[in-house]
Amino acid sequence: MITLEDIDLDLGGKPILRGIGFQVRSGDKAVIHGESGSGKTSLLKLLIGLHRPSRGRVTIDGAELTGKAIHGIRGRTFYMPQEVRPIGEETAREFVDFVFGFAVARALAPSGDELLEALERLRLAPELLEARMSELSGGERQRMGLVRGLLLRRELMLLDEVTSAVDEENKRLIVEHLLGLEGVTIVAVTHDPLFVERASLRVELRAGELVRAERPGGG
Amino acid sequence: MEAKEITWIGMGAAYATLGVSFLMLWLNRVKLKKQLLLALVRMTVQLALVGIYLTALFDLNDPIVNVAWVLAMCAVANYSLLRGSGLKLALFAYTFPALLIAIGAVLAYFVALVFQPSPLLDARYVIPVAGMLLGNSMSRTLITLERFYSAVRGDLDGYSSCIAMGASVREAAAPYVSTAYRVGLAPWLASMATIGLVFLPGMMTGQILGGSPPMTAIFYQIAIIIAIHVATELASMLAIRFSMRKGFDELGFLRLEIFK
Repeated sequence: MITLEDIDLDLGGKPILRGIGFQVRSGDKAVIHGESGSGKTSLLKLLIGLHRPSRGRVTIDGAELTGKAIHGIRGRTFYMPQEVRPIGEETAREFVDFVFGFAVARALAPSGDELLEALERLRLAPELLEARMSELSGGERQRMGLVRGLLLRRELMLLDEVTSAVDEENKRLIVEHLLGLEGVTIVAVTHDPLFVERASLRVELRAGELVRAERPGGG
Repeated sequence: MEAKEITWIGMGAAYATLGVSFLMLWLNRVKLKKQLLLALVRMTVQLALVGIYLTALFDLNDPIVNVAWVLAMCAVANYSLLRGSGLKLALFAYTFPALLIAIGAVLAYFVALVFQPSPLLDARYVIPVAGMLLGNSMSRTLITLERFYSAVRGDLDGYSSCIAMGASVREAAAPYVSTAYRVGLAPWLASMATIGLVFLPGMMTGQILGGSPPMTAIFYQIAIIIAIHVATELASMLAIRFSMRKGFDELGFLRLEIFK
């Protein structure tokens, strides 16, 4: 369970978030939505210690996100930013494989069949694995990023508008797939109406403040 | 055979050719005449000073003075490379050992096993070879460090996503290290591939003009190129590795305060 208690966040002396508090339960498919510049990405980054709150605290399963606790939590998390940028000349296969070179993920390195299955689920042609990341479209790069997420099988997925460059048909497919992941807690920043509609927790922000954190149908 | 000395009249004739350069600037209305003049004066004064201190060092030829001189050159080179890389001098304590280890190890190896002068720490070998290693290592390390830190800074989300998934700083930074390394290596590879075809290296030309047989000069040149190559590789990689201790915090974040 992720708990945010009365969070303020300032970046570069500017107030970004004020008085944010809500809880994400294990297995939740939570969305953070709201207008541009409302602090959604900053809030997501707080959940994995990429930003540190100016006031209040974030806990995951009772452990506050400070010091050593962060390293343990990071080993159980998949985080994906909105833009998947190629770093150099890497192919899509090298891009996917890269995360399995981390000591915390080495044991999870996928077999060839598992990789093909993940590609198929996200409607990516296997030939794309040999293409350079810089040659793929923005939507294909985002889906390659999600391939990493599916193969890593982490219990917490933090996703920042990861379908923003994907076409409508594939967007629906990805959202359906993410919503169907059992035992996985997802917190996603999104504008996608389907994701917002089907989420188990909707967190709405406006100008850095919490408008509402609601569970459709109560609970 | 000793090198034939250039007379003062000969030096005057060499400077006279600069008139062509100034004429070109004037005809093409390039407003760089003052800067060119300043650069030429600086070059002349600096080389004159080098002549004076090298004469003194060679006359003295004291191993301790020679080593102290190399240390001082390392410190100056380190200061210059940090200034040029857009990073703060706070990294000095991390990049200085990188340069020192790279230059010290390669210099010791080549002096002891390849050049074998007598005495071993002969100023005529140690000072110029250290200067060549340092000059090249400084420019390569500058490019590599600058590319590395600006690549991580330019893709902070991508880098941070790896940290957020449990990667160590070294693991998350690996692709940026590799990119920076490639950028630093490319010009050197290009120049190495054309040595002898497009241009003759200055050191070799100097030796031939100084009276050495061409093959002796070429052997020295090859050994120096290899030494420069190994020293620049070592210096740039160690500078990245050592500077990462200061460049990233305990949670793996890039410290933005290291940038100027």
